Amino acid sequence: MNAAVVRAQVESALGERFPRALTLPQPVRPVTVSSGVAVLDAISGGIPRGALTEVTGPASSGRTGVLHRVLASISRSGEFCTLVDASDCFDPGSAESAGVQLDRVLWVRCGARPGKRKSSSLNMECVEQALRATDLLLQSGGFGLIALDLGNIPQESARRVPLTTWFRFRRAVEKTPAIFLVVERAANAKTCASLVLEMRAEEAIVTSMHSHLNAQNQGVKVGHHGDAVPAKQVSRIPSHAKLFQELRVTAAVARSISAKKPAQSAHFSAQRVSLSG
Amino acid sequence: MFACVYIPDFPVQALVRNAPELRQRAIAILCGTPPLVRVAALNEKARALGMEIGMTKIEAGAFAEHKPEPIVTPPKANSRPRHAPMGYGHRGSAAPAKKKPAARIPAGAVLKLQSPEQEAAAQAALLDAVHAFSPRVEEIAPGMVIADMAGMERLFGPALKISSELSCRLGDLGLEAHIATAANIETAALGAYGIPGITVIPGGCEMERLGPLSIDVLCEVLPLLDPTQERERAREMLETLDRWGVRTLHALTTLPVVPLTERLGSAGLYWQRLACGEGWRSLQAMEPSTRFEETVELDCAVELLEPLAFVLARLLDQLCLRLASRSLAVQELRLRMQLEHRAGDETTHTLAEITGQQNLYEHTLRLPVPMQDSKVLLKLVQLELDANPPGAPVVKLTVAAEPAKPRTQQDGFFLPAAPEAEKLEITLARIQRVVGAGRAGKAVLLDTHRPDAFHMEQFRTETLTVMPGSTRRSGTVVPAETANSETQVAIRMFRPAIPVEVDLHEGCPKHLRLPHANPALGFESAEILWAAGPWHTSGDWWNTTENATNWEREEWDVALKKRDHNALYRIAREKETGRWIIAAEYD
Repeated sequence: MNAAVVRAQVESALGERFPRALTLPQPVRPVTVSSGVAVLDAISGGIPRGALTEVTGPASSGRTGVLHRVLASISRSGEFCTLVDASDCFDPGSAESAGVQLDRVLWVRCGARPGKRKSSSLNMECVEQALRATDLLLQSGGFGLIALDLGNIPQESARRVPLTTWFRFRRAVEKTPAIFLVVERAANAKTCASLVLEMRAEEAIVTSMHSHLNAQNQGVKVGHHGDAVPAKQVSRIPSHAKLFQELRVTAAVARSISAKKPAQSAHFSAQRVSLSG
Repeated sequence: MFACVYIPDFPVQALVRNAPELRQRAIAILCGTPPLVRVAALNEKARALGMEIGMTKIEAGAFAEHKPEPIVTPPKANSRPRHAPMGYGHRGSAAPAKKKPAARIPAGAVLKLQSPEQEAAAQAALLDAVHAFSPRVEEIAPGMVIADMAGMERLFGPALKISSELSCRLGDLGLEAHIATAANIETAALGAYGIPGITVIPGGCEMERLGPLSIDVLCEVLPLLDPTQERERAREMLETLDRWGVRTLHALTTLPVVPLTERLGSAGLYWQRLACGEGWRSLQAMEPSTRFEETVELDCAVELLEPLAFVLARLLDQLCLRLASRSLAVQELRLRMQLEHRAGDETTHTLAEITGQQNLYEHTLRLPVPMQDSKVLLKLVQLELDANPPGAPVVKLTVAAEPAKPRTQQDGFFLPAAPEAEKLEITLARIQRVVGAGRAGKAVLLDTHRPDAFHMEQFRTETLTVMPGSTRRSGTVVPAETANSETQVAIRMFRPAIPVEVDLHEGCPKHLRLPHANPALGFESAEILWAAGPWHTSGDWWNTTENATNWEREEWDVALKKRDHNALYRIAREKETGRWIIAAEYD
């Protein structure tokens, strides 16, 4: 008997009783949340819930800016967030300026216990504390975002985190509505991450103070310093004085389970806001 | 209708309430100052051994615990051993089954000193349980309370049902009670004292129910109801009635009124009318106490935290039950432990020694929300003790709870989920064990321009309203539109700041070197590509107190050339010391 005919007979006989056995499961598209950066959402589709997302890049590549934007987006939507800070480097001031509601952010500050002096063991101890705290928070549940900041941990130490740990984290967060975001220098979670963003700094915009203040006095919007400065004061400023105004970064999607095609990239800039007056 | 609750052998029950393993033993409670220590209370098993109230300690010691003798149960005739396999020993003898070791029940009595704290806690538990059924309760004596049940039938049902539920509630609290309900206080008290178990005395049946009671009951109960009644006078009347052959209340009711009054006076008439089931006393209701405390004294000092947790679990169960019966929850938990004194131990540095109180360990656990779950409380206490152990074996443990109304929270359909308060509290306690106390919470910015000025507060998940307007810090209002629409350069602080040596050229930083290697930076020296600044900041110079945190520094934003990329940092020079630091990284 023709195999195709036999198959058709079997499917017609059993299809109604066991529908799932004869159909492939449809892949469920993950629910995503806006990262707070429109261009980033455009290339990545948003940060997926119930999945592990990595934001990687070297120092001054805009990773922390993205982290603050995600924290702001989630905390302002009414959910609670938690930040496990392996190096105790979170700045509440710049986070609040970025729109983060600090009342809704649980900040876990990892650090060395007294007695540990060697820097390598210090880093590993911080990583161990961060991983244990993350484990407890993932088990506890109820948070909209759990962020793990390994940005200042050297890659040699971060690489020592076993893959089974990342796998366990991924399993803990899937089936929950929480976002698990990891900030680090390079991607370490391999296939456990559903989305990997690679950040890179392009250019830092620095202007001379003279031209900046003159433009300000003429009413041209140059940032957040809107008050006019007397000309006498402008002339007293040294000629070499500069003002760091903007950081231009590039973000690329290195891996995404929702996008079939590999890396897309986008450019955006981050404004520097004066926090000291 | 009145209900009287009587706890027989109250000092013994107060003791075994937190030590249920002693329930099966004969127990004698001793009180008094040495050498005049005497037996003050006994339970039934101790009476069965022949002990009496008033015995001296030496006399009671003769009944004290001896070497326990095993109790061997003789095997039943013609019974095959339980686990012997079939066919084994086919030559006629079955293989003998392994004998289970017999339970050893010690034969002697346990002598314990009276504990006023445990009795106070038991009395408080009794009052809490009764208050759950009536708002008007009077404390007659230790172990005896009377409640006004008028109108309670509509809420809780008939008198028998109320008494049964009250008995169950007391059983949960570790107290076995006699409960009697009657139309007046005196009858209820006599019924509870004299008749074991639950007794309902309907109106008109008082004489019938009280009749069989011994006349001794009057002698014991009346001084409790009326402190002006003298025990000596009551004993004299009892002797007189005994000589007459009047030994029950029924017999007392049959005596003619006039001759009884002529011989025993108004007191005799009073006794007769009580035996008939009459009563006039009114209830003097008391305010319910707000003190919730449980104490246990340990026979042997407990050194390890794990066995201490078992004791704590019992105390917390009792506290939570008492609070729940009053519809209250725990807002604050206070632990007090009496530690074993170790003379001459120079190596022990306990918390008690450090604080100057040699043998006492005290700790207060403040909860973010009122809680009623004893398991959650136990977990939090265990985590607290793990982090701050007593440092010496514990001989006495007291747990006190600050009551509060239970938290009521209504979840909305459209509100995002939040962590459960109880679960979050345990998680935070576990995290603090990992990272250290005070290092997990929410950051609150201080109203100052000082860099990195904030303090940590306890993280809570009470409903927070989302502020639709602006965020505010240091007097600078950042419009919400700006905060939401533009991405800003974030800062990563270095705590502590990294010391660095900077070479200047025409007042501008040109090169920097690290005196010590730092893996977070990834370089030891770097050329400065450009430097923006300086920004001069200072503050708190007007604060002349000892704790003044005045600062003055100049800050530069610099770009450093690293191996494969450029990085932006904020460096600063402290004006006072001239020291250069790397304060933060722009990211």
